[in-house]
Amino acid sequence: MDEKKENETQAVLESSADAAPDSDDQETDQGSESIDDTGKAPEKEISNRTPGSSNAAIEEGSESEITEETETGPGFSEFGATDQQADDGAGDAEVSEGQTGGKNIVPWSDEAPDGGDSATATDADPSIGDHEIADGEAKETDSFAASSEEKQQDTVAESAGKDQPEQQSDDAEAQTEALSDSKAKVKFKKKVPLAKIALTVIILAAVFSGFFIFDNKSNIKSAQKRPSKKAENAVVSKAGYEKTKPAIQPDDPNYIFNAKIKEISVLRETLLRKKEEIRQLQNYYREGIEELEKEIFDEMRSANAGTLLQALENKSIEFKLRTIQRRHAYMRQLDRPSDWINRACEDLLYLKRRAMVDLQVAEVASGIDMNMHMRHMNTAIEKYRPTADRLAVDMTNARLEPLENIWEQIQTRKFQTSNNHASSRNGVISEQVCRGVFSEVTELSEISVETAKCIAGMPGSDLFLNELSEISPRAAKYLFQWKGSWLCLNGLKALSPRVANHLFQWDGGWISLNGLTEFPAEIGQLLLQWPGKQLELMGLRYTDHSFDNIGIEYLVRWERSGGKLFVPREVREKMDELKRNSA
Amino acid sequence: MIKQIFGSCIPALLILSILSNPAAATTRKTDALEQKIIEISALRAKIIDKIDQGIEMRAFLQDQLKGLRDEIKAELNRNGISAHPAPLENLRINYNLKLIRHLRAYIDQLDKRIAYFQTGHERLNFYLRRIKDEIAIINTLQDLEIENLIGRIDTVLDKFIPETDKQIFDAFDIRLMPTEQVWKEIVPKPIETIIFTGP
Repeated sequence: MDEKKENETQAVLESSADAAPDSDDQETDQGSESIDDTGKAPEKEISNRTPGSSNAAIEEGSESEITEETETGPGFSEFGATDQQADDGAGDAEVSEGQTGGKNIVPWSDEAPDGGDSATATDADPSIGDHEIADGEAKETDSFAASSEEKQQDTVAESAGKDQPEQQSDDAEAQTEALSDSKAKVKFKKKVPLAKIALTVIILAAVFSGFFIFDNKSNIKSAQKRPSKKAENAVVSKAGYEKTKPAIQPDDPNYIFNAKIKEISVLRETLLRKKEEIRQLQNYYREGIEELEKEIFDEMRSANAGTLLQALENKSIEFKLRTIQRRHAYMRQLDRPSDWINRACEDLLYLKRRAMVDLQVAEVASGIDMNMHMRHMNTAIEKYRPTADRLAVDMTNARLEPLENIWEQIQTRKFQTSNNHASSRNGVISEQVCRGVFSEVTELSEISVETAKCIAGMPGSDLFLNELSEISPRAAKYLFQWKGSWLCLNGLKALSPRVANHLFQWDGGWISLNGLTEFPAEIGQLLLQWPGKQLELMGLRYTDHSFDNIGIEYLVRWERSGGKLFVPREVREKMDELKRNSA
Repeated sequence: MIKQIFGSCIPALLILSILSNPAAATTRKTDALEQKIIEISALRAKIIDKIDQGIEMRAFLQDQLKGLRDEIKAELNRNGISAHPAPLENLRINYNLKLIRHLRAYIDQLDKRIAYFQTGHERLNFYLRRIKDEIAIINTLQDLEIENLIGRIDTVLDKFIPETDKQIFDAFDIRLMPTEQVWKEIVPKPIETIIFTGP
């Protein structure tokens, strides 16, 4: 009886397993035929392909294999091998299910509910071994058997039932039992290894991911390289895959070459954009250097520093000189990726042009090896992907220019600029402000006591000083005597108690401090003395440790006194919570 | 079982893969540098306060010093005392000189500490500029070695943060000038000559 059941089940499984490899064979054969035979491949077949290994093989090999086939025609060997594998798999239910991919989802999905049951059983008694589960059908409860029976009936109805409906109606119960017995065996045998494999893959993936995350630079670089490669590969393979389909159509034999040429163009454009970014970065450093030179010149003039030694005694000048020195090094180091990109762009342009010319000439000439172009273009695409590794600048080995040289350059510049009465940007604006011209006051990034005194007399209701990243208490004392209503200081990243003391004695009604990430209780206490109407603190970062960094209690008290506070949602929630608790 | 495995592992894998992608790595680096900007800015604000406090105190002490000097000069003019041992017998002058010695010592200490904090302030500004420069590189080239920079910044922060939590200087460390030297600085030269070099 058992043997009979097993045979029947085996027959059913084999029939479904056979169906799957056949379909796979059809796909693969169709693919090979279509290459050879002018694209009779039905769209449905191609579109139904799952992104499995066979597809990957086709994708990877598509361009070279297809072109080889076009030329020499022996490309069938690979497809033949695939067929052979599939055919071999057909003989064995387990192997065939594993190999046939999409088509075999049906038996696997049938197993899934049972798998859930068996998993529950296993969970209930973890001591039960795999063999016990596989062999222990007799130990299973009636309810389990009943539920599996129902599911098996569904299974039969869906899979085997389609092929042999009459047989099923005649001997449904016997078949169901047979199926439940034999499939359960097959199922448990397969499920346990599958679970193990899945677990192993997950652990391996987790280990690799952890390795890539926690290792430092090299790994970050490789991690950057890989996904970008992956992403580009994804684009390429997707595009390549999509384009291999039209490529096998007889009316457009050059499609694959055009696609590759387009890919080269896209890569070149990417590189050119990157080069432009690097150029802008160098300009940013150059402008920064010029501004620092002007600032040094101004300070030299006020400190009467005529020699480098005198200048180095002034720490402000010394650090500015060192910043110039470092920026010079950055600019030189950036030449390397810029040169690399330049060379890459020229190479790619040459390859593209040559391929395009040969593609045209091939229409009227023989002996043109387009495969060679494909190989060269593929190599170039691999070689010139702008990964972080290839663009990296190594500042550890950067040669720093002697400070003496930089000093001499500034001295030379000094003569040029002194004639033009030029000075640093802040210096120029400060002079304008003190002459009563306030048009550029918003661009001030540093403020002296004298400038603050001048700004205090500025007419108008709004004062925007968002470029200021800090202010001294002495400057604050004068600045906050300005008569206006709205003061914007969003560039301030931190507020010292002394500055806060002056700020919160200001007469205006609206202060914006959206650059502050912290607002400690010490500052909060000072806020209570301010009779203003609105305070913006949208940059506050509330974390679990923010108890010390943000004086919520003082913010609440200030708001209760009639002020309106603009804070991020998290801070607002905490404030509301505190209000509720105190109420 | 499989559902449980996938249910727990797939989200973990997703998170890991998100963290390990290059954009995330770049963001982590810029975030680390942005965090350092905040830390440096907070410290600079404290240092500015210290400098301001020091300058304010120095101005106060200099005012006091000037008052004491004026008082000594007035006393000398009133009593016609010129030789060094003689003024010390005048209690007002004697005590004023002692006070001046202390004030001078405090001012010297304040000068040193103000210079120290100003150097720290400039050094932190130097690092701020560098951080901004390196963020620009990271944004363009997707990568840059920053561990070294962060290490250096941490060293500077570790050095300066405890200093800002302390008083500006410790009076225990002061060194008092000799009275003669104070006297030399206060009394006009002709008298000084009389006192120390003889008639």
